[in-house]
Amino acid sequence: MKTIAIAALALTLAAPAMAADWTVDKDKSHLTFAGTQTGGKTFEGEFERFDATIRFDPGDLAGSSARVEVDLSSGNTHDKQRDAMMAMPVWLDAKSGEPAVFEATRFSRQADGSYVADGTLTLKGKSQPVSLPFTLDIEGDTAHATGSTVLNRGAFGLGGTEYADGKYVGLEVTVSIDITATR
Amino acid sequence: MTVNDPGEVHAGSGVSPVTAGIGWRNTRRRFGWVAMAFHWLMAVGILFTFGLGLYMHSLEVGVEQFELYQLHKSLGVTILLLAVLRLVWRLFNPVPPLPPGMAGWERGLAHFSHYGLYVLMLLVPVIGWCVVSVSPLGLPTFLYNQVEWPHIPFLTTIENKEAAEAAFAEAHEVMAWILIFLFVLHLAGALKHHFISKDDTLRRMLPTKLAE
Repeated sequence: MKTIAIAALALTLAAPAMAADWTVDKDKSHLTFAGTQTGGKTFEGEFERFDATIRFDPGDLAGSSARVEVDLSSGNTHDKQRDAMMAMPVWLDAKSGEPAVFEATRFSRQADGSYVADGTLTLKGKSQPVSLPFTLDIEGDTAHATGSTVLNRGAFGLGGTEYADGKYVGLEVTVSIDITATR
Repeated sequence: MTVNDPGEVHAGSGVSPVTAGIGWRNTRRRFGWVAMAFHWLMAVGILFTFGLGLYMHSLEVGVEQFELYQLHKSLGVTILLLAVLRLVWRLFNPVPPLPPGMAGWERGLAHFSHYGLYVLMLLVPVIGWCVVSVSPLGLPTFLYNQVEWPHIPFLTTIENKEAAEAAFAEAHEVMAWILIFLFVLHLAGALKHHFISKDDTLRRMLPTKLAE
């Protein structure tokens, strides 16, 4: 056993820096968000359709990258009125068919063993730098990552001028990931 | 159109003597079940929706106010639809004539309040619909959070929505108050007929036996 482990380690170290490609298990992965409505009432929702291309290796962070495309018409907050609202041009403009794209280009490991993915989120034609801290567990060929970050919807023009002041809908939106992927 | 006058003839065995002779349709002497249902359902609906309008307007912006506005919109659309159905029903069901012996001005006042009530039970919800449609917030309406109710198309694209919304909201409120004023006048008339003239005017709108 020990010899095999050492051999495997030697092989890993000897191999050129090649981060692995991961396939997201869509049934076990969730992209959720939470916001507040008038009076601070919180609501939660989920984007039911997204695609992710992930190349990640804890041993090769420099060669790691991720690209996530979110179908903005797949948002579900379990309230018909709110969902119709969210799809409107002033919000996510779901009918435009334009996805939200997060491209993580730099991964770094924190002192506590967690990671931060830095990248760019493009939403409704506006790009903003976004950092997504996440924890990662890799067991065999299965990885489980969870993390969340807070976005300011105003930076992407969400809500237009009518909702710009946060009186009716809070400016901060927490986006969370819970991803299971295999390589 | 012929209007049958069943009097007591429809009273079959097993029928309550109190409601005997009341059919679905109006007769020359009294209102039928359908007209009574429209009348009382809308009386309760209008009063409740009016009270709700005053209450929600007095609240601070918040979750409760938001949800009460949505309920008010649902109730308003319900009243509008009921009013349209009621008018159609009335078109094919002439109402019983006013009791004999009323002075000319009394007849005039009765007709004025009836027509005014019909006009306003249509107009107040329609103007409310205009408020919602023209609002810069563009909130979609879901009746009882289930069925989408559209905006009035051309109002969603006009210039200067804020001023238009304020004007429609003002008109909605003023007309609602006039509706309530006519409601009180109507109620006063009904009570006058019942307690002073002692005729069947109120009874014929109730599921009860006529006096005469």
